[in-house]
Amino acid sequence: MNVSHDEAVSQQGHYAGAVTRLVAFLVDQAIATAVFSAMSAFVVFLVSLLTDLEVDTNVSQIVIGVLYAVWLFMYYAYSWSVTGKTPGMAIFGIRVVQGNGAQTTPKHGVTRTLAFSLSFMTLGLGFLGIVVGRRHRALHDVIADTAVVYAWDARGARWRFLARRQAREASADVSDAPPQRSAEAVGT
Amino acid sequence: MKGMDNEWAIDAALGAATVAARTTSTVATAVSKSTPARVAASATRRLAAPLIREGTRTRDTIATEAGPRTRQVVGQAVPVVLDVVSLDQVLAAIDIDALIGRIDLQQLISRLDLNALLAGIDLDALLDRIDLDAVLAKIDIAALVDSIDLDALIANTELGSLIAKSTSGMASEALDVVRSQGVGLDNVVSRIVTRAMRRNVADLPEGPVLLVSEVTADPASAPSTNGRGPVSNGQGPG
Repeated sequence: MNVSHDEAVSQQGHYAGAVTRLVAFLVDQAIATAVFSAMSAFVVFLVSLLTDLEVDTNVSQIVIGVLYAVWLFMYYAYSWSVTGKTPGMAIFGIRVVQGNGAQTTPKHGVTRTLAFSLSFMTLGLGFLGIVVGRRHRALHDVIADTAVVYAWDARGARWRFLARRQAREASADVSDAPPQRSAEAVGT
Repeated sequence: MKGMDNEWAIDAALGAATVAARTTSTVATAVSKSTPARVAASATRRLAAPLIREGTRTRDTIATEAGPRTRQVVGQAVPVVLDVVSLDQVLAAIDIDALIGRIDLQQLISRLDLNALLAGIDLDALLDRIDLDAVLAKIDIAALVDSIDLDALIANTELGSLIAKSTSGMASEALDVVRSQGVGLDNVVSRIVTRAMRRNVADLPEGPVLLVSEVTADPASAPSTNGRGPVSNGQGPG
């Protein structure tokens, strides 16, 4: 699918759609899980290195689950409170704002993160609003009075696209031109 | 006809008067040049010599003292007049617009030596008195940037090559493409849902009020490719 940058420019500040949000969430989960795994492996390594403690697999599953939930809470709540976007959302150029478009506060970030789990607990029905809602808001958006919008500088992307095309055309012109030395040889 | 009948009489009277005056002048000139008249004039001048001296003295006095005395009188009279006359009423009675309309400003400006005028102005001191922050606050930078045809600027100047060099990374290019593809897929899903639910696209909110209110106020600011209107703020939220 060929999507022009003009279309993206025209949607800057608009409610973000389901596909971008879903992919951004998956990227966030991958990043958060990878970081948590690395950190937990490092901690276990340190513990086993510095002490003689044996890690009980049955107990550790519960502990790790709780720690993972806490880590996810910190990951999302901090990101949405401070910048309004998680690393995954930053990659895809979307961010969380208040319902009226203003910058989110810590209250919005924490409330949205707590309500985020509710959208899962309702067997995913909480996410239905992103697809069919007039404002593309999920259940946790409605509870926290937030919205997700496109925030990336598509205009700058268009300029970069034009600049790269100009550079490619310039390099193509140079390669197509006959070498100076061979032209002189023909002349002689 | 009656008026015409009377005109000849008036003309005749005027002609007679003219001839009489001319004759009298000729006769008076001839008489004044005659010997008896000269003798009489000489005798009269000698008899009137004391009167002539007195008259000359009076004329000199007036010439030397009239100026200062007049100024003194005016100086004493003007405050009294100003007390009586209301300048506000006088100024209210003057039509300033008509007065200015009578002034040839172009001619006035052409007579000014602007170089000399500018040389006398301390521009540094003038700039120090200007609140540049307030001036810049009144400028709509986003509108200013929108008015520039940056596509043409990039295509026709070295700016394009500079941008290409600074953003030649594959990651940057890939990020632009992925984001654009995401927006495109979102629009596809949104269009399908809108049709399925028989919604009017124009009635759907584009975004939060603070982010799209400027657009709804000026829908012609930029072309929209999806029929939902552009966002003109040029920057992301926050």
